Amino acid sequence: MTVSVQEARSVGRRRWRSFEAQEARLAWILILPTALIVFGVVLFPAIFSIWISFRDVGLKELGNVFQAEFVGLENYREVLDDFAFKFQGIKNWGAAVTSIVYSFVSSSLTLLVGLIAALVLNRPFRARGAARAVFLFPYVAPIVSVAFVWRWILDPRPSGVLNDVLMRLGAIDLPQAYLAERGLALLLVVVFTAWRYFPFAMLMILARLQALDKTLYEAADVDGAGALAKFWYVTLPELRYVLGAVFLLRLIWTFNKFDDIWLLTGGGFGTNVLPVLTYQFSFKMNDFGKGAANAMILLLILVMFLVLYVGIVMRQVEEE
Amino acid sequence: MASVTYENVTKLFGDVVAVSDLSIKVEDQEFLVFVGPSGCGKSTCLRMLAGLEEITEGRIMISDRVVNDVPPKDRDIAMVFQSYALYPHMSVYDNMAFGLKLRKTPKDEVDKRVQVAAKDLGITELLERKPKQLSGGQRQRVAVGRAIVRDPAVFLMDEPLSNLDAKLRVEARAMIGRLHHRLQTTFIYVTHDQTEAMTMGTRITVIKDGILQQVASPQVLYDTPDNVFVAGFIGSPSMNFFDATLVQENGKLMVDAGIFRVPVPQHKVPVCQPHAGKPIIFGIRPEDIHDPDYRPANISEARVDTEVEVTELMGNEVFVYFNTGGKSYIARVDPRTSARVGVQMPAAFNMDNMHIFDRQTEQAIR
Repeated sequence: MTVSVQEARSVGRRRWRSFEAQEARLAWILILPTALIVFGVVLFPAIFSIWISFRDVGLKELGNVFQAEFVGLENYREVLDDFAFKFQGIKNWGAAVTSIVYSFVSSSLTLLVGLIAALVLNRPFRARGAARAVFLFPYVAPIVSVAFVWRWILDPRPSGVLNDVLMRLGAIDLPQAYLAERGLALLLVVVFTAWRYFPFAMLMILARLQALDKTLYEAADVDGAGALAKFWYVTLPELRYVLGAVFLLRLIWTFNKFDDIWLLTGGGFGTNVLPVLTYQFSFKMNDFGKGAANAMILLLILVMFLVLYVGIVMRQVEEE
Repeated sequence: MASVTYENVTKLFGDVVAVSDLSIKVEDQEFLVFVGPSGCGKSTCLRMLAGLEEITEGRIMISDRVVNDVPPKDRDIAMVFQSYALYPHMSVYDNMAFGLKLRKTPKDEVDKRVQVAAKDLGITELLERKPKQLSGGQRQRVAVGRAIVRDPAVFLMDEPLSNLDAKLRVEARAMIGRLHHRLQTTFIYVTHDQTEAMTMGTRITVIKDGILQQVASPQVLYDTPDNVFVAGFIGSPSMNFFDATLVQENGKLMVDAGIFRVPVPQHKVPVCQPHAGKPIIFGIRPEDIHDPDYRPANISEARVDTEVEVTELMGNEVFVYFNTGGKSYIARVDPRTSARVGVQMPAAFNMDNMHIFDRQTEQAIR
């Protein structure tokens, strides 16, 4: 009697096991396409570019890239020495420094403009819905078209919109090449980025603003807080999480951003950032080794910032 | 310390009338309660006084000052909100000190007042905590503390106890009562709970659909409600109502509810006589319906044959749901009662405490 019970149990267990095995097999089959795609277009290129960054890979090596000469850290040394960190005067930094300045300043400005826009659009007024839609425009419009609108406005020829207006007003005598002046070009690129991406920050902040407990403001009214005190003591603390998150996202995205700068200045006149430099190495100079090394440097800097940011800023926010 | 006067105050939200032509004078040091069902406009009354809602018509005065256009911060009021509205990122201490700091009160003065208030409310050990680390009852006390450190002329409380459980609510009720007694300041309190109103208010304002129904002390409100609404709203369980007519029978004035006929006691005849033959509403409170075996002595008793539908034992009393001729009504009777479900028995109405109302106007006849 006992034997048959045990037998029954073991048969059951075996069946159970095979059922589990089937389930596991099914799971593998289901994730296989995704796994292949992730490996093929994400993991393999990432690992492969690490490999490339230690080799001398030019056009002639492309036919047999795995035979490319191992050069150690030579690519890194050249990129770091000559381009990424090279300091040649106050308006002529290396691309890494430009990248850092560009990302931080434009992310901060994006956040600030987004915050102001969100505060304005959170107030009730006529046609608020339409205003919100208009404010979203820079973010949803195709980058190529808005970049060319900006280039048309800033065009160095007398027919450029800004030049034309300023000359008619008598503010300038000769047309200016705004995007070809070191310092000013970087500033304009920063302004462009803030203008283009503030709607994202605005949307996020607006969503949080609308979820705020209105009675907090009533309590502040009774407590004697003016508009400024209400903003400082009620609104801003409630927005800290969303501001922190939006800044982090914008920072990552801006640091990796290629198209905005490429379309506006092509990376010239003190606006060369690491993603543009990577493109130039790889596809202009056909030096894939340097391109890969440059991309690795970009990645390392980004990771460093993220670790700092998550470790310091976000932890403080969480402790509150 | 200040009186508060509502003078013909009306509030419209678009076309909706929230408060209609309200006039009340709240005396200095009074504890006035606004009570009424949800959406009746009682909170709006308070919020207009606080300056959180504009006044459409009429005037509100604090002491002798018209405050219609005075911003909330300059009205010398403090308010406790239903949701408490504590600033989530500030510690309990900062929450309480916030109003004083904004008024540029010296630091040691702020500290003194916060410490005193915290001690009063038993929240000294919570001062460093954040609101989300507190229980509901503790948050409620912090909200009250934030109001009292300001030492305002008028305290406004908007349903401050409705987020508490039953036991805490009873405690908090007593706490606020003590506070009023000690501070000797005007309190204006909004609630939908008639028990809270009855136990806390020195006077109660009953509001329905934005219209003032009656202002009176709790006892007066209970004994002589002005109309059917007040009669039904004040008291728990609610007063029983029967559509009836006053009829003359063998020289005696009777209340004829169709399902029963009960005599009007002698001392009420003069008031009722002029309404003989007219449709009225007959009202009697559950506590004025007795088990005949345990009725108090010396009442004008009228017996009505009933059947017991449900009994609810409360311990010190029993709620009996009687049914006479298809109409249900409720009685609070002595716990020794023999009333059991399905039993046929007479109910003894204490006619001395009967209420009659004009069926047309629903106003009390007295």
